[in-house]
Amino acid sequence: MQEVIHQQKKKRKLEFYLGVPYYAVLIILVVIPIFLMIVSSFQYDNQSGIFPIGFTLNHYLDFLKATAFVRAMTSSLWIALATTLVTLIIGYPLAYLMTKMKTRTQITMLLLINAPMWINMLLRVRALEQIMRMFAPFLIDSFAGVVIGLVYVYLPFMVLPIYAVLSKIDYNLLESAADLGASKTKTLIKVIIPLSLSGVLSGILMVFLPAATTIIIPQYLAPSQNIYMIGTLIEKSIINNGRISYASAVAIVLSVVILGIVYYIKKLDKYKGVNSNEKEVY
Amino acid sequence: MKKGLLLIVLLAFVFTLISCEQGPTLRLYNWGEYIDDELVQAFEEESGIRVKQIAFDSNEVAITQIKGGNQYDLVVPSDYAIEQLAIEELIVSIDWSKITTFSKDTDLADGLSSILANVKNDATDSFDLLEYAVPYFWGNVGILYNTDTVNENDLDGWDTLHLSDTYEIAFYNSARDAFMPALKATGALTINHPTTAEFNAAVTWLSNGLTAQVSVITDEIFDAMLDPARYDMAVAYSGDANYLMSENDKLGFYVPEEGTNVWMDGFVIPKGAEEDLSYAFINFMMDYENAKQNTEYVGYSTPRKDVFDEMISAGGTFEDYADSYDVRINANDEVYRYNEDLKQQMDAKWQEILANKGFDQDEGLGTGTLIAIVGVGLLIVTSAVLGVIKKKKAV
Amino acid sequence: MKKKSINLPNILFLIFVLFFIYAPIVSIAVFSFNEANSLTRWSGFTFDRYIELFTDRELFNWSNPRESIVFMTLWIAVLSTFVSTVIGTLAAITLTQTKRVIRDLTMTVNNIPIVSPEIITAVSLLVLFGAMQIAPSYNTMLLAHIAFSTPYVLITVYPKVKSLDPNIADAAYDLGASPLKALIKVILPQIKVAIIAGAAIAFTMSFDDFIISYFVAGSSGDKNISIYLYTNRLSPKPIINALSTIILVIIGGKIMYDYFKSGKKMEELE
Repeated sequence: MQEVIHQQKKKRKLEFYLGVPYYAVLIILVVIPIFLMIVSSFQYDNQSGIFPIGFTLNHYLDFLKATAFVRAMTSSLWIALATTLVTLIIGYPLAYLMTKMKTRTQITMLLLINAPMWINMLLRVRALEQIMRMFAPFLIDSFAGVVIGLVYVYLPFMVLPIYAVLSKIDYNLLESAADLGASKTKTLIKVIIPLSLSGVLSGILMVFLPAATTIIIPQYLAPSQNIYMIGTLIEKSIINNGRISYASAVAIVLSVVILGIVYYIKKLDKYKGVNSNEKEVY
Repeated sequence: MKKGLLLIVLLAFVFTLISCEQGPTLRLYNWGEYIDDELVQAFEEESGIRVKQIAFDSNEVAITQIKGGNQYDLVVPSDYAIEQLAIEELIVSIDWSKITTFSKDTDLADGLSSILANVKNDATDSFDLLEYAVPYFWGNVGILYNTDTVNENDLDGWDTLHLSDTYEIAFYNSARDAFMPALKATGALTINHPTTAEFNAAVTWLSNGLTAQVSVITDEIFDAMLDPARYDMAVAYSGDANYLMSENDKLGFYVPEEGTNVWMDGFVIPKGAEEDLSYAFINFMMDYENAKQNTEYVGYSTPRKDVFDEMISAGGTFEDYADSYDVRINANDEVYRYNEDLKQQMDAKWQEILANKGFDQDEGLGTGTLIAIVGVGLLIVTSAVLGVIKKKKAV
Repeated sequence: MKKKSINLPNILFLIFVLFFIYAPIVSIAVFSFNEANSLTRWSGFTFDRYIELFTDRELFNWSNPRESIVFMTLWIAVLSTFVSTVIGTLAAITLTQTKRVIRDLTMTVNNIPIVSPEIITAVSLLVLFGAMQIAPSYNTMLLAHIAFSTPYVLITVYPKVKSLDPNIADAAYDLGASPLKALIKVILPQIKVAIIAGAAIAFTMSFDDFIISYFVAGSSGDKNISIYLYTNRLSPKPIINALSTIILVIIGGKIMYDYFKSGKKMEELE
């Protein structure tokens, strides 16, 4: 009996030590930075050191008063929205078609769609920029061009979650729907779409967020600064102007806005886990 | 799995071994494409000192990096940045007795002498650049234009840049190089201490000038102004103009009469540097042959009088571009001075102007923006409210 | 299972999409063999770009790897993958034994870097390093990579650890194994697949990372491949096409490998 308790104690000790490095990383490199960022946003620029010295709302006020920057944020949201819609329009049918293929072909298609994600994003955007300059120079420096660029980069992020969910749909459900007299369209609307909803929402989140906060796409595809996105403002404030506190304030406003949107999208996910093949992980 | 770990550990050892003792290394922090790499290699061979080159593309970045604790042995900032570094005690005074290949009293090109004197003799704000820097290149800012497509009569002051309906125009993407033309065009007395009214006038000038058809560029100019030139007019540095004009003979360089910014870049030695290495490199670069090779390669005006005179004389490399190579400080030309407040104002305003680019000035926020603001605001408020209600219900 | 046949419009749609995705990539590869120094005008086939690429001192410094962008990108990827995989795996094991409350909280916090837009993580890390007076360099880049890789390793490995049969570990203890030995010889082998998957994700995220690396180390002159590509975007160098093609070939090779491996698996199942 003593042996067992001793073993238990050793086990507990080991497990404790196992977790220490992780919690160190989590606290120092994830939690504290966020906290510091919030603190920094209320400080005057060029302050260094961990401990806050002054307090000012200037950065927030400067940002919110500048119509140009507020407009930059909202246009980023519009661009992200357009991107999300286009990827959805292309991605959903694409995922649906994929589920109809032979298994071998499905794997091929999956790899083909997946592969670009492993290629460095800057390379892909540069490639797209070259093509655009060659064949459609009017797209450069335009809203449409930026959206196309974003769709190009983030399409796989929409296709994959939808495909994952669609492929898990139990065909028996579809057959019973047909047996009960539902037409193909009705089956689509009342059965397939709701069941795939969680995948769709997942895809929406994975496209909308990066699209709204991108810095690369406008710098490559709109080099004349005609499409000024919120990411550009943060980047220039930090790299060119060294205004880290100001950038922190802008980042926090951006976070609040995004949190609001994400919260809503997550609430729409009513059908999570309805599909019998889904397993709750946590 | 274990073998993999072993391999990684081995690699680690190998890496640390490789990168260990390399002999003396000079850390040179310079603008990109601003030195002939052949010269750097020649220096390494001659002196046995390795040169590690790090590049920056703006003075602001350079200063931030130096302040941030990065140690360099030589940096090549511009005049106002040199001033800031000196005031903030980040660089040491130049010991001119250690400069053997160049004499600041006799060997300076005339144009540069007058620029340096202008700053030194400024009544209110004197600063002796030579106390902290060894001149590297100098020049001014003007408009590089396509002689084929631009009617010379249209070249009338900095306002020429407003002719975006007729010509393809490119501004330079930097706060200073945008505000300087603006301040000059709107009649500001000095670009270093504009009044609020003058500053706002400049902002308006820029906002009106930066229409959707106007481009804002930096390094693209090297590619874009080769034949056939993509832009009819582009704000450019004199050295870049020299280089481009030698590659494309359909280009000309125009400096508006209202005045422009004349500048000098120089070697400075940060505190904590390996000064022996720094002086060795400076002496090497200021040597007659090397300075000549450098100016021929980079295209900017050399500070050495003998090389300079040779370049613009008959048979010299820059004979045809004597105008843009021989930069003189004219009556209305100014050197930028260190002014922290103005710099911050300009930097912030410049981003705003860029964000406004292409939008109608009187539009204000516009319908799209308002819809988005209202929509998102509603989302945030209702989600917060719902969150609170949910919590209350759970209790 | 009834599989409907795909009709012509569908096939056209598929082809169009694939073309849209791959045309730019193919053009990069093609132009990497271009004779001229241009990215739009073709003048002849040559391997020159590749020679220039491998002798470029910035990208490949054979005498001093620490100065070479490509080597350092790889090196940081390897290091950060190693560290984050170890830390993440150990954490996954610990978390299975932790109280539910703490575990849920940890998971929530763990997800923050995953769901946050990269630019926000980048700014927060920049503020951290600034506050701690750590100068931007490859060191900060490495720390940042560890910061964002570890959560991904955790969410990859944890489900697998959770699904393990606890009886096996208990059996090991009963047979006299110390907890450490049980860990190494019993638990780790069972979750090997998940660990490798997690490591693969961590490696790719580090190798391809741009925004976070750029903010945290970019202006210091310590660049990784992505930063190099970005800072050179305005003065196009054709060696970049060569570099891109090589990366494409390596990725392509990996994809092919995956494809044939899964093909074999399918055949085994059938």
